[in-house]
Amino acid sequence: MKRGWMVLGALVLVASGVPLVQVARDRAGAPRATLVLSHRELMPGWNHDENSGVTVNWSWATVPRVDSLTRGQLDSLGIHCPGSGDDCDSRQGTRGWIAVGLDTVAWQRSVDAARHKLDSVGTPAPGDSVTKRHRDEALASLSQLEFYTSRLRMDGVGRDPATLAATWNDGKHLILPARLWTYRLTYPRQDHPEEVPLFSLNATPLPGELYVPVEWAAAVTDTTGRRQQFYAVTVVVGRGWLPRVVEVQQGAAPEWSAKVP
Amino acid sequence: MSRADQIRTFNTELEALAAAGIELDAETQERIRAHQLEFLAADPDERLSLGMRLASFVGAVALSCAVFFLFYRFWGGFTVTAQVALLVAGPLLLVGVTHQLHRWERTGYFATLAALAAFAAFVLDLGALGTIFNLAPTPHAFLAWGLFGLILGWSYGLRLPHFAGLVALGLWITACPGWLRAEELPDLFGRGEALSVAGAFYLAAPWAYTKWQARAQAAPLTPALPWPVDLRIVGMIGLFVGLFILSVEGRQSWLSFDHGTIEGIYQLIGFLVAGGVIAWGVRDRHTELANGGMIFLTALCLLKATDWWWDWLPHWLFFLILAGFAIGVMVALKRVRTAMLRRVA
Repeated sequence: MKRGWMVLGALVLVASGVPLVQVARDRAGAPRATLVLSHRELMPGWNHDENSGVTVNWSWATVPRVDSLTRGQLDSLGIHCPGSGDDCDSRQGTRGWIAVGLDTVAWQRSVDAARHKLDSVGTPAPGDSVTKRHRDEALASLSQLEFYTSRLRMDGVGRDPATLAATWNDGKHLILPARLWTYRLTYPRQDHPEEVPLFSLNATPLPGELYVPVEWAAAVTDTTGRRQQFYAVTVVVGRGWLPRVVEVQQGAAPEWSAKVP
Repeated sequence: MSRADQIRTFNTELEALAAAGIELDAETQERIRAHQLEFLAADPDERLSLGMRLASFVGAVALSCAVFFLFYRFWGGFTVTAQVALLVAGPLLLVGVTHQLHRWERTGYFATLAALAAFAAFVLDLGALGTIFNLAPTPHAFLAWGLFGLILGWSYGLRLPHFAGLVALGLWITACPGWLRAEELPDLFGRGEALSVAGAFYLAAPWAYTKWQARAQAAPLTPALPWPVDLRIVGMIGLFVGLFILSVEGRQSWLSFDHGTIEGIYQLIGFLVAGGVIAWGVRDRHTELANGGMIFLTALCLLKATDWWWDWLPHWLFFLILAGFAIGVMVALKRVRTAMLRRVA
């Protein structure tokens, strides 16, 4: 092939152009949804000397799963379970979409309870090892909630993003592409031969991590590699349903965090 | 076989004939030797070809790794625009380097180095663009990588990028049926039937191409298929791996029968296909097919023997039966070989 280098150059440009056009179309116009998430919902990805890029990973309050669905409910979501195997004879994940939101009420209740417990313990007197231990445990519990306990949960699932967006159109949800897979939970038993089979629907957002551009990378993981940072990530979903990080704001650590044993 | 290898084989055969009392006259021998020396002197790389090929392969793999690690080491410090520019420029630049090296050094050892680095840079390009813009993984990148590798190989006569392109294109063909059924990565690579069909397609491609050339009488106009042996090797591995997966894991099938029945069907198909591939390899003198078929047949026999006898036979008897089977295969192959030698004679 005499003009091989030209064909190769064109192939590189076209193949690289496809995702770039997709991104340009996604970013043309106002985003479909915006949600501010904390370091608890988007935890720093594995970052090391050999990979200087910064990503954040989805972290869940509860596993993104819908349990005890009947076959009819599953079909209405556009997801089918062929065969009678526990993995629906498929083992294959299918393309789908999920609506994710924050369960701040339950999380705040847990934080308030942990704070109340800490306050009720009080300051230990010198030599009071029992109170000190209780105080350390309360601090550790509060620290766990503030640093690691996510509020993120999956509220909806389906095969069509527009339908999901119409259902969860409250400004507090993001519609994300996801890999879905189903499991059969129950089988007819001898004493209940007519029992209705129930299914579980599981989801993983795609991609499993979000890239943080260099402008905000330092707010997620500072140069010392310290990973316990308080920050708020603004994530938007564009016209083409692509999620992206548009801002990361570093937050101040609460006063109690300095006392964590 | 390279020209130098052909010369070596020819000389070995001459020595064997001389030992059997059949000799060329001295003048002819001298003319042959002079011609061979002249050829080897004009093409000194041939004498180093194995070492050069090995060094070129290791260097190409190392350079590709270097391209990957270099980017990932520093990409976090660049803006998105700079990252995109670097990613797109990388493969373009390395294609240019391959082009120049191919013009300067015709044997292709150095061009292979640059070509494989270009292939790696293109893989990095699409992979990293997906990460930067949070795109869901897609199997269609394998189509682009496959075409890139094939065109690179065809354009500059480089076998290694051609082989990489064949593998990437094979993975794309394997992924297509699953993609149409809305299955997601990485699961859509696991379907045994898709892998087997893609493998069979590759395996049949050189044969079909030759037939088409012969029927259309297009041989002088159309180029010969480059490295058909690579197509056959990749195809055979895909076909056998697909059949093996289905032989042991019926749930990976698209068929809706009982898993045990599916496994049984594919074991039977596996035996038939392995036998057919061996026969094809022996008939058309494709060593890779005969050897590959034999390895697959042995693996299937081991699988079935373990399935049937491991639990109820004493282990010594189990292995004795296996040894008996191996001896049977050796005897059968020896007969095939003798028959082939007779046919050639």
